[in-house]
Amino acid sequence: MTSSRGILRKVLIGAGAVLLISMTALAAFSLGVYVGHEGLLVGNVENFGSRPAPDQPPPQAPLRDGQDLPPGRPTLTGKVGGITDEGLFVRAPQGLRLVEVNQETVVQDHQGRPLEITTLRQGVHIAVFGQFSADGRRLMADTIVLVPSPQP
Amino acid sequence: MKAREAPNGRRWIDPLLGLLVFMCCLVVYSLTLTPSLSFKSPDGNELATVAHQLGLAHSTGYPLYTWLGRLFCFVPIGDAAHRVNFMSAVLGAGAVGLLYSILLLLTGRRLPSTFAALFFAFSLTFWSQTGIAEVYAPNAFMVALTLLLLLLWARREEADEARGGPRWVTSSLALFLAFSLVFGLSLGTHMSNLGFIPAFVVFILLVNWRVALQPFKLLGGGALFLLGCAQFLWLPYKAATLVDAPMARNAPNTLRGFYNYTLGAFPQMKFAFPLWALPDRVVVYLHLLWQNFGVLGVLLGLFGMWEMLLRRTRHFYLLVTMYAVHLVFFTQYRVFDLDVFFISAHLLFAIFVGYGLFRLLEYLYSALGSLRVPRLAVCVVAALVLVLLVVYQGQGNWRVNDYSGDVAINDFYHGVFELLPEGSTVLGRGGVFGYDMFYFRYVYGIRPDVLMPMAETADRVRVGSLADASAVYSTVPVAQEGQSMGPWSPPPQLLQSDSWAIPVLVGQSAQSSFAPSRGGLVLYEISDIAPRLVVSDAQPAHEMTMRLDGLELVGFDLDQHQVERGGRVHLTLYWRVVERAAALVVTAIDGEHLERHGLGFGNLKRYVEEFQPERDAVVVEDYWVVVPSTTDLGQVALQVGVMPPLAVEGSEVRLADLGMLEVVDGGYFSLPLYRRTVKWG
Repeated sequence: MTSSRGILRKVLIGAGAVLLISMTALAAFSLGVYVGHEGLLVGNVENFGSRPAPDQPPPQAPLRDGQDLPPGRPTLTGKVGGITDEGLFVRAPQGLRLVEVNQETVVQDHQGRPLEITTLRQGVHIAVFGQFSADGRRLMADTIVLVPSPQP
Repeated sequence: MKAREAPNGRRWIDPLLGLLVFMCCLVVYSLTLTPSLSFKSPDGNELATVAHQLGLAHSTGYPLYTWLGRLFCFVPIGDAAHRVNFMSAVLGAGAVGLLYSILLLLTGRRLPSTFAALFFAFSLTFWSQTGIAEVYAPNAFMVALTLLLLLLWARREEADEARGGPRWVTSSLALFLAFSLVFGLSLGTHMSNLGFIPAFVVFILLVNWRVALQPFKLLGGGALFLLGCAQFLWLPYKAATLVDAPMARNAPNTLRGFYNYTLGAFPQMKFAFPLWALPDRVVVYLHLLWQNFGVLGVLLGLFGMWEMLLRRTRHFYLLVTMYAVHLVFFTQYRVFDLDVFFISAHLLFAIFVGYGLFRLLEYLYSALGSLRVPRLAVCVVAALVLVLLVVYQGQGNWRVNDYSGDVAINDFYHGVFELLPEGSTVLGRGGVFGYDMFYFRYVYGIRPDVLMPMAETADRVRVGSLADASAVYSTVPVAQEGQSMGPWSPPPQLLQSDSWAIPVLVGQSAQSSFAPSRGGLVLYEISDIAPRLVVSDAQPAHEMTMRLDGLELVGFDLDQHQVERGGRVHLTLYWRVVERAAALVVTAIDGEHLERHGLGFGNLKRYVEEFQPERDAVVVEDYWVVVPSTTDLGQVALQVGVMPPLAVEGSEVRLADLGMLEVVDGGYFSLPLYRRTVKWG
């Protein structure tokens, strides 16, 4: 009886050790993936952790999709990399771009619902509709749409 | 290794210390408590109202929470919402006291038990839930109570086993039955507790597998668990009271509806992420863990897990299975307030932290003992270091979790219900998110003459259209033609889409992470006639020329010099647009921002398109602004400024003084006010 208990205990400890090692390995792997993508910036995690899931309607809400968005393709898409008095710095596939906003810039979610301009925070993905300056580095935004995180 | 027993002569210290831990938390939580409604949680205002009314909360219903909340509504402090907030403080402090007891049971040591309990108590996320009406602090209490009862049962079983046979059969049975009942009841504070079943089954079998052969104990436990679950009969009983359209579609008055409202609720949120997103989700959790416990806490917790595996294997399986189930479920859960869903997991992690510290101290005592260092000296030094750690953590989180000055909603609606004309209609958000307004109607019956269509239950809606209504107001902007404002906004058929939403009253910008997506506190008058927004013949009572960012303030009207705390000031601002750049207009008192809004409150673009005013014309903003009831009495400077819309929080804003106001005590924030207001009806 005692030896069978001893064996059970050893099995349980072994299985528990495997579980703890697996959890630690998954955590280390995940941190590695994150640092590889984002660098050692905690701010992006904060946004990721607390931001509204933009591609998800609120509880059991059957929302129409995208019918109120501006027509055509957005001028620029990317992730808000920084916010300054001049506007938004957006990390786009083309590189870092400055997006200027003015009184008439409309901010909305991907369902077309208006949002406060203060919802634009570092780390959120946006699509910008507007006109580029002559040098192509500044974009005057007519409409900014918060979009879901891109799928790989 | 068994936990050490305290010497018989000093056992009284343990409950006393537990009581001290509870009282310490209760005092701190009470000091940081929200005085009434808030936007700290998307559901809190609904939960407070439903508890007072004994109604039905959103999915999954939360019957036990509702009943407990009703009991707390009898506590003679503040208003109804304050009393339900207080429940979070009391049960949150209770959860910490129970955590201390659990740790004492596992370690037999007061120092690590006290430290881990207080470390959890003043952690960022848990503390944030003890000051508002929400389910998470009461749920932590129920989870901790369930766990304590199960551990007490296990200790009794272990004691019986050590004696070679049961000595206290009734005690063991009573503890088992109590555990079963409390576990069933705990589903009424959060249904995710169901996920703990595998952990409980594994633990019970590991402690005494013969329980599986004891039908009386099994049937008794099952029956009491079901008795606890029977609280959910409250759902079909109260289904007719739902005002939330999305919830009413799954009203729990049929079997299918009942399932959709409870176990099947929020299907789109569960396991919502693909496998490729797993690393991201794990990092989100690690970040939350780090926010709450810091590097030291996380390392202690991991050390505690290993030590518990080696020394208390059965308890390790209980706790780690509970913990893992919650991690797997909630890392895959898609909500914007994800942090609070991990509170039960944080509670469990705090047990590992406490156990890790216990073992570390044992190693330390042992190592230093061999060096002839007095144990008492080590203990005192360790206690001092740990106290400093808790104080440091508490100090850091106090600022974030101090909601005691959050009076924005109450101040705003106080003004709203004063301003609304007799027989008018007021629109706002519906369902769960509309309770910042419904609260005053349901709980205090304020202004029964005012039609509040969004507060009507589905079978009592009295209006199909407001086209012919005499005076219509709204706390949300009007949806333009073809525009969807979401399921909780007024139905588009209620209003003509070409109506103007003219700002009347602007409340304090709510201090909440949830507030930006909700929008500001603004009362609009809905009108077919355009406001006098841009004029070429501006004649302000006080002329001035002050450049503020991209705007020029050319004058203002201010016709009062005294205001009650929680009252309002009538203000007219005259602006000339100098630069076509985005700007937020800010009003402030003695440098403290009251509110921010876009120039023209969202009407400027449409106005310019329709009326094409001259380029150098003046934009006129005419509205009342709420003066918070927390404002200091005496002379204060009313100010206005302009800031970039994307300015970082706390950045410097240049403000122009408009004049001095004398703030006098109005004392509205009390029950007599609400009674006085009811008379208006």
